[in-house]
Amino acid sequence: MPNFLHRRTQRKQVPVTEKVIGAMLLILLGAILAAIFVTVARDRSELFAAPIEQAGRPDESETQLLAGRLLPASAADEQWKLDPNSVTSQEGSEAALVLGAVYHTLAPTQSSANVRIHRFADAAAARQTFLNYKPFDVETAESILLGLTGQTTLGMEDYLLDDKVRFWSGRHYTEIQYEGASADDRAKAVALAAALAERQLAYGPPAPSRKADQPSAEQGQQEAALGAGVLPPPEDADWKGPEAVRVFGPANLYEKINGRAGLYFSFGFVKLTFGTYRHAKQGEQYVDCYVYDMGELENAFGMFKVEQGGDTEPVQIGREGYVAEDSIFFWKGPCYVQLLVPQSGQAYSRFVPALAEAAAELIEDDGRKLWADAVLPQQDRIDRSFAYVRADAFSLDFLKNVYTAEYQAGETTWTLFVHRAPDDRQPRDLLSKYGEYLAKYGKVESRSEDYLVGHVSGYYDAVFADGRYFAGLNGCADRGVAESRARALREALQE
Amino acid sequence: MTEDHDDRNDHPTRREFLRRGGSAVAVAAGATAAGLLLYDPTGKRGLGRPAPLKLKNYFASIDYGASEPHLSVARGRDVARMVSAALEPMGGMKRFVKVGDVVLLKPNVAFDRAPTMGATTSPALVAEVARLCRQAGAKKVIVADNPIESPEGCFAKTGIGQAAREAGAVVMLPSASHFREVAVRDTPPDAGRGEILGSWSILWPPLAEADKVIGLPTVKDHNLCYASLGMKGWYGLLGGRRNQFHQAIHEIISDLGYMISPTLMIADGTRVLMRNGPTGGRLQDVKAGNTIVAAVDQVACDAWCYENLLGRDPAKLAYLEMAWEKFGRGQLPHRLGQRDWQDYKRRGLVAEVNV
Amino acid sequence: MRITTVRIICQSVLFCVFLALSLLTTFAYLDSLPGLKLWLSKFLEIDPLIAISTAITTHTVYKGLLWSLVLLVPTLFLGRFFCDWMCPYGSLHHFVGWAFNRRNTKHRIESNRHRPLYRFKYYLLVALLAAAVLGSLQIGLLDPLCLLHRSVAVSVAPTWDMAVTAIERGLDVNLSTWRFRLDPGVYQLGWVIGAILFVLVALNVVIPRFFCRSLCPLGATLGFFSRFSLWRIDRDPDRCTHCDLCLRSCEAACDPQADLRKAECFVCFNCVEECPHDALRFAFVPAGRREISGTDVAGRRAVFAAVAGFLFYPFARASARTKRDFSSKAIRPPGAVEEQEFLERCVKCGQCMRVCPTNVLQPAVFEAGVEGLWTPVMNYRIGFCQTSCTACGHVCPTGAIQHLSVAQKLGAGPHEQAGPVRLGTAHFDRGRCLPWSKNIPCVVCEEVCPTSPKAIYSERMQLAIRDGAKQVVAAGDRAVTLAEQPRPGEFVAESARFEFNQFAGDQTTRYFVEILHADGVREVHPIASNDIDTLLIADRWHQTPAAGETAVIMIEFRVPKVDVSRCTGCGLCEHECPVVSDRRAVYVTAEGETRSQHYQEAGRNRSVRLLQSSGAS
Repeated sequence: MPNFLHRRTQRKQVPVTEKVIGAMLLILLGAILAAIFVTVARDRSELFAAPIEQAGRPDESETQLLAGRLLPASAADEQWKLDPNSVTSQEGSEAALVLGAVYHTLAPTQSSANVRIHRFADAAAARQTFLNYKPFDVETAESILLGLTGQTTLGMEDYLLDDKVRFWSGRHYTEIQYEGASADDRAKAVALAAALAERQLAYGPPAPSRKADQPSAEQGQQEAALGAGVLPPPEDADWKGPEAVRVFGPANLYEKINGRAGLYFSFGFVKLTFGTYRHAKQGEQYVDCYVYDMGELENAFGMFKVEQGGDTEPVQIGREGYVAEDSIFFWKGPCYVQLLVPQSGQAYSRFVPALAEAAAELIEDDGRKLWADAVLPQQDRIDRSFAYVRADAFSLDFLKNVYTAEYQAGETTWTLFVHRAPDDRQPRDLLSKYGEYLAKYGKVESRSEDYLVGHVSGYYDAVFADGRYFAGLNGCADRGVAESRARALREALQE
Repeated sequence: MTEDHDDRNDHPTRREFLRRGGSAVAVAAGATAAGLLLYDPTGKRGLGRPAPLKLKNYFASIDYGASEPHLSVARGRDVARMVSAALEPMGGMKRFVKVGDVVLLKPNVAFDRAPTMGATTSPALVAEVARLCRQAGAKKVIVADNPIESPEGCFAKTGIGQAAREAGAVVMLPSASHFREVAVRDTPPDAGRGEILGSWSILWPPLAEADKVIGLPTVKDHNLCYASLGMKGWYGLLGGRRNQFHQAIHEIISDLGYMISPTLMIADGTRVLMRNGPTGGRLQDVKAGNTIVAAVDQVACDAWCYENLLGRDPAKLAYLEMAWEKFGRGQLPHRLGQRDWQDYKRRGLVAEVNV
Repeated sequence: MRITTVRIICQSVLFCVFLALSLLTTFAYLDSLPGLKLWLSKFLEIDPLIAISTAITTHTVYKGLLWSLVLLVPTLFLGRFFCDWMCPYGSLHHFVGWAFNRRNTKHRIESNRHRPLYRFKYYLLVALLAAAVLGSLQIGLLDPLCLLHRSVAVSVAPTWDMAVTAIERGLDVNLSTWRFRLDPGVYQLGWVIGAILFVLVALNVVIPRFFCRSLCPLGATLGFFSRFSLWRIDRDPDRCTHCDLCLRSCEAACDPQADLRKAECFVCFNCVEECPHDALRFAFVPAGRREISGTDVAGRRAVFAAVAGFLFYPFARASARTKRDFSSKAIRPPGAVEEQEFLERCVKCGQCMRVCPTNVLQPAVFEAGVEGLWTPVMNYRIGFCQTSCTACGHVCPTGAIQHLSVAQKLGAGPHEQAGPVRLGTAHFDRGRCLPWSKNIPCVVCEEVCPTSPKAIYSERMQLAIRDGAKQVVAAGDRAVTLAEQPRPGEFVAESARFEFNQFAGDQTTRYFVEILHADGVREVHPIASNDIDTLLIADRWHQTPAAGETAVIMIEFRVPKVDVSRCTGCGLCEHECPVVSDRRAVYVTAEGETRSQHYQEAGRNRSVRLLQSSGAS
């Protein structure tokens, strides 16, 4: 052995205890080594394995996502609890998705509520469904004003009837059927409805946009053809039109003016040409132009008079016209023209009269005068009271095509009228009918073959038939005045 | 070096044996016991922070009636008279400060600006309020704030340090040891409801010591949240990295209003910084508001000042709505948070006086 | 069998066990032999100094550190046997001393006498414990097991791996079972640690067991506890002839020839073997007067050492790095506790650096302040944090890096609400990023980003290419012929000169041409192909370009951005970024680390995302 490895020890003998302890220590060392080997070899656990949950969670289906959002687990401060096993979903016939769920409540009584939420493609469909389900006697139902904080209406429309709450909000239509009839049960159901409405996005169907009738080139040409010769081009560079030109006949006049159409029919309506003039820069300023062709001068005149109210400001356009808050009405020839503006404003007060003039230019008027205007006396006549009534004059169904004018002298007022019949016989018929009317509702004071005086409710009528004319006076408080004026009218007619 | 002991008797005595054996065993036992006592098997025991502290409601002890004026406006030029005139309809300072109370005044000392710049509270107001508190019997009046810029510089330049001391108040400058974790709300904050603070590092000693807290905000424009008024003033109690809250400024301001319920707010409308807030720096931006508003409702006070001093529409100020949502609807006892100050006016709870 | 022989066997075996365990602390071995986890840190766990000092700083005894009782209790009875029977560092010193020291008996006897210098380790221990009392754990600097672990991890093992790799390459053989890493690890400034190891071991040549006798704080601790021991080497004064031969091989310089210093004696039994008169024996409770049981340190000097230790803490903390002047480069491993607690726990043992499979954990220099010397920080140029790896937390003996489950680290399963563990946030340096600043398409960062959905996402951007503005000469059905824009004064512009299909593009890059019409209308079309001066577009012109109009050729590629709410700071992007240099185009800083988010003192809460912080309170 090399020198440095040789250990020089002086001790000769090794005590036994030392040997024993030495051996024990070696055994201990061996045991530790064995323990290391055994534990290392046997441990098979995984230190770095990825958790199973991490290995791809399947995406929530859209239905689950919607159900999670639209159906809260508890509503109205924990009063209602969703039964998670009751949530169903199915495709509806019109709705894209119908979610169903049951909510339970414990107070005041243990009851449950069935909820069905229909989800449509758009708000219009949801609203339509809501309206379809709305019963006719909806006045007995009450709008419950669902809302986010209870302060504003959020669900666009809603009602509560019997045991059901229904509302639509945005693209959702919701029905809740609840149990119980007490006021508390109702209040709870309303709270549930509010909680559900809170989770639905509220918006309505799209508003009809004016920009939508931006005419294409062809459409513009058609309209121009319709309006040609009737609707004038605007001479003002700031305005453009006419747009959305349409022609209406008796069959579809109702579409445009609804209930007023009846009155127009009674005045012999032929056709209506309608167009809109729009400001080039400020699109919300527009003028609607209605040109009613009434067929005859008298009809146009009569229609004009009927719509003319008491206090109107006259304007010299056509045969006669007036302006009311920048809207202008006039008649010329067989046409009665209305130029309507949405609100009065400076822009209109310049443009509309010029447009009216231009429209009047296009109307042909043969200049024929209304014969009755000359016949009915001017003296004491109230300005602009001359009118034409086509049917049911003085509410008498037999009296048609009558020209009237109002008169006043001092405190006394009366109306003079004149009707020209096609032949001599009709005035006699009318006279006798008038007599029957007077007899029935009033008193006939004096009667002759062609003359009649009577009174109804203190007002005297004096009427006569003269040749083709049936004319007279209606509604005068003073008999003497009535008879004298009727006589004067007769004399005027005979000329 | 080597000692030669000829003593044959070198076996230990029984006593020595017991002593030495006993000491070894005792140390072994002690070490084992200590080890087991401190044993942390999961590794989590050693971590963790102490439980956060809680603020008191400084308004709860004032039994304020629903028909007493909630908002009181004084107009004039003399700050001292305006303050007294504003407090008078509410019952004077003695209504709020009782004998022996410790009162904390929290002015706006945020920037190193002269008082004429309108960016900080007027020192005259601080002095007058301190004086009134002492007159009402307060044992100690503390003036404290944690400015953005250096505290010593700000308290000096704004004149508030000197004014406070002359009025007999104690100025407490914020030092690193003063900040403690304070629980602002009991539940973890829900970001979806605009809640930001769960617990935060707050300037603790003045709040702990005070029985009553009076906010003395200035009224000024703010580039980010449009106005820095009463509730924004509580920002000056925050420590830590509070700059990150500017990412959600309206949420944090309403949270600050939620955090602290002051006894009284006295808003300084004498010099109103109309533009280039919150730092200001030009006299042209400052308008003479000549108004002092005292209020028990910090949200209504903010709304009034926003409308009448800054001339802006409080309906458009988002944090007022959020504050109302968090504590103004009556969800919590002894908390006022009505954002529609006109409602107070309709109920006759707004007092106005000229001096 | 002589007791010294048993001791030599014990030393050798345990040294080999230590070395093996230390070298086997790798991800690969932990993965294949998970039972190793029980034994890897065993030497550190039985170290009572680590247990005591962490108990002082954290007021707890972390998990496996309770094993230190297994060493402490026998030491109380038997003395400081650890130093020459079990301590691997001691064995190393013993071996080096035996192999390289002088053989002359006279020299050996003199070198083994006790010197006052040997008291230094007690002062050192006092200073270190004083610093620990205030909250700064620095014992890991000199604790022998920590030192040896660290040196093996940072210097010895890479040396071994490098040697094996070199042999493999040189001899063209496969020695993969002898290599512990796929490629040798690198550790920043590792040479300092290796040098310290070498120097300390080399000092044995000058003074035998220099470290063990004068520097070792663990030895000082065990020496302190040895005062209670009931067994010790006892000299029979009747037999003793004062020949001092017992000193020839005395390892501890504990004066067996005089009154034995119990606090120094390593129980190596060499003196028992050497004594020619059999005067020495290992006795049970012998007379107290022939021993020096205490540590024999001067009280005043100990106080001075304590003061030094106490001062260390404020001096270090006033140096800003811990609190306010945070280095954003001090990114800690996943599972690390908050910084101040980290500094109370980390014993700088280097196990985490050894086990890290990507070699990203590096011994810090002064990034985390002077207290953070050799504590682990991430260096994303060297490695990155593997997504599902939590190895460092498994091996940390003191809980500086907590044991995370993989689910916790990823924020999966039950931890989804809390979110993933974030180490920091990535930022783009747009001045260096290839797409952002050099019009070169590259989104490697997005490709390697491991989160799902990815934290790095790209947006399409169209930018004019260099000299991309041209002039239209003529246009066809789907084509436009271009010329260069005329230079000032030029009458006729040069025609354009492209390479064939230069602008055809490929799957990652597309080219567009933007025509600016004379009436101000612009239109942009993708280019399908081109020849020398004419481009063919893929769709149709809205308005045919007229001569003289401007055409701009643009390249479309993707530019990367970071989604701060998803980034976990793993550093894969920085590691893979092709802009290799000191400043990469994308780099990670410590902002937004989840370990700091609950701490609100100035500077500590590094939250860059406010409301989205996981569990922010």
